[in-house]
Amino acid sequence: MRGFLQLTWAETKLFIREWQAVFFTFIFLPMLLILFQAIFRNDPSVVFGNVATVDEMVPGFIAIGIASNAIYIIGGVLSSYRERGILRRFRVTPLRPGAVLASQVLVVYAMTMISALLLMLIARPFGLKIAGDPYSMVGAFTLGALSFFSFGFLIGSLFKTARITYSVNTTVFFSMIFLSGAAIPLDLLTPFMRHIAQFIPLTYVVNLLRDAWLGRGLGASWPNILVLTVFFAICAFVSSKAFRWE
Amino acid sequence: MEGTGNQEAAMKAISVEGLIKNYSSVRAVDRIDFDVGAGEIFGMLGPNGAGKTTTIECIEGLRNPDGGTIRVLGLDPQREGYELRERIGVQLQATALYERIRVREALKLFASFYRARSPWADDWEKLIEPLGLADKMSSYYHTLSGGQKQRLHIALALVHDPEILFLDELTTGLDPQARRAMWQLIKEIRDRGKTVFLTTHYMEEAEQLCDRVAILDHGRILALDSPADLIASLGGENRILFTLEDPYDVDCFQEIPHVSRVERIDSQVALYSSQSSKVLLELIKRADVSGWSLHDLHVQRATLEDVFLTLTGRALRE
Ligand SMILES: Nc1ncnc2c1ncn2[C@@H]1O[C@H](COP(=O)(O)OP(=O)(O)OP(=O)(O)O)[C@@H](O)[C@H]1O
Ligand SMILES: [Mg+2]
Repeated sequence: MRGFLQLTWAETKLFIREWQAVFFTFIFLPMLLILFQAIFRNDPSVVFGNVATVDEMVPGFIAIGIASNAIYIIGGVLSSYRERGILRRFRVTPLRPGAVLASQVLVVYAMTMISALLLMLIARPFGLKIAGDPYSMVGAFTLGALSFFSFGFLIGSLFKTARITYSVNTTVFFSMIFLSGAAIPLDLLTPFMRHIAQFIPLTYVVNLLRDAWLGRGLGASWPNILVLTVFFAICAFVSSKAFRWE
Repeated sequence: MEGTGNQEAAMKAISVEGLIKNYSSVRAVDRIDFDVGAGEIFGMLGPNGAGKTTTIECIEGLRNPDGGTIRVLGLDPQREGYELRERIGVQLQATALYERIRVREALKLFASFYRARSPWADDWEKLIEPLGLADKMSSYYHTLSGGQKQRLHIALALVHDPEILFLDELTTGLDPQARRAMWQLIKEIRDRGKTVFLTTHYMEEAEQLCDRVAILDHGRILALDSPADLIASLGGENRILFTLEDPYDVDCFQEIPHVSRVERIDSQVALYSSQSSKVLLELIKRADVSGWSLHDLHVQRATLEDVFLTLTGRALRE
């Protein structure tokens, strides 16, 4: 337990010292939100089905934060630790393998949560109205985060080197961002692309978060919950089989 | 009856029987047996690819052997790994750490992995000072030099004051001064009653540091003894070396009493003998009579290098 806590503390410091991660999570995303607000203004628009733009956009951006931390941090860090022999070094101590994974998840979960709060704070001057109740929001966030973190583990387990993982990550990340409705409303896409979006897991995170944030309730969002739970189970199972310490 | 068994087990820190390890078709370790006594510095000496890392990592429980039995402190590294890892400290041959962790943080982090409280927890300087890292406590890992990283990894292996210390190539990358300081440190650890298992391909390191040395080649132990006894097994011969430009007849060296063998490379002559001082006296007498001038005359003690050469017909380092 002491090992787990110290490791979590160390991982927190390491996250903060890694400027790319901090930049993307805490600076780039909020800045992008401000930029989008400046471009689209906050009119209830037809594209967003009469919902104020900022209210749609914030859950979308939170989903982007989840995806980027899951794919780049969890996926990337894991394969780079393995590649550099850090995981192997831990294996000759009494530290349990689960503690390494759990501390990683905990730190990234907390950081993603902070970035979500930051996005909400920044969106307030743009007239953000949150209709959802905190429990559904935390619940939706947690399911979205955990399902994507297990996807990050899957990527980190499947690919041998950090370099390959990085290229895969970038491809996966950008296709998800643009095809999930997180950054661009799905209604703007061609019907074919909208069809594709149904096969993008992040789409379901975006939908789930929007349902929670806009106060539609989790009950109405059950298809998203179902899809993400199955996605979580598959990724967790496959990555636990594929995972290698070295 | 049982008492003797326990006592015997207590004397042995490590016992290895019939250890085999294959990598696909390559047999990296080929049925080796040895015991390491509690409180000794045991070294494995061998050239690149001899199987040293494979052996040490099987003992640490990092690799699964394909045959044989291993007991470390009476525990099976495969089945009782967690129990064992509380009591051993390991420095791996190839290893790394988080780039942006500070030395102090790394020490604290590793110390937190163990049940026992680190004896240095209140004063890390005491652990790190003999390793020459005292002024690096707040440095990031990635700013350390290769040798400093190596020394930090040794400190990390020591944080919990383990009963057995495993060191895979402990002085690779260290300068000669740091290397000697490291030997001194390892001896002090042994003198505190700890067992040290190390691998090396420096014969000088094996000779100076180890109580017993196993010479490993192609996954087999060719010889196992104290360095002094290994060298003595060559018949205790020393080498008398000199350069002689003047014309001479080889037989006149061969017939000097106690000379067992003569070797010549151009004008360099080497006489082998277990009675080097008598040979030396006679040699000087003859040189005087014949009017030769012997240049660069010196006596060389046999080393583990010669042992390796005799056992394998190859030099340890080529
Ligand atoms: N993971 C591995 N997969 C395949 N072959 C391996 C692996 N590890 C070691 N070998 C092979 O096993 C043999 C012994 O390797 P090992 O690393 O044990 O040697 P070593 O004595 O430690 O050498 P060095 O002095 O270079 O560290 C070598 O032929 C090596 O190529
Ligand atoms: Mg080796």
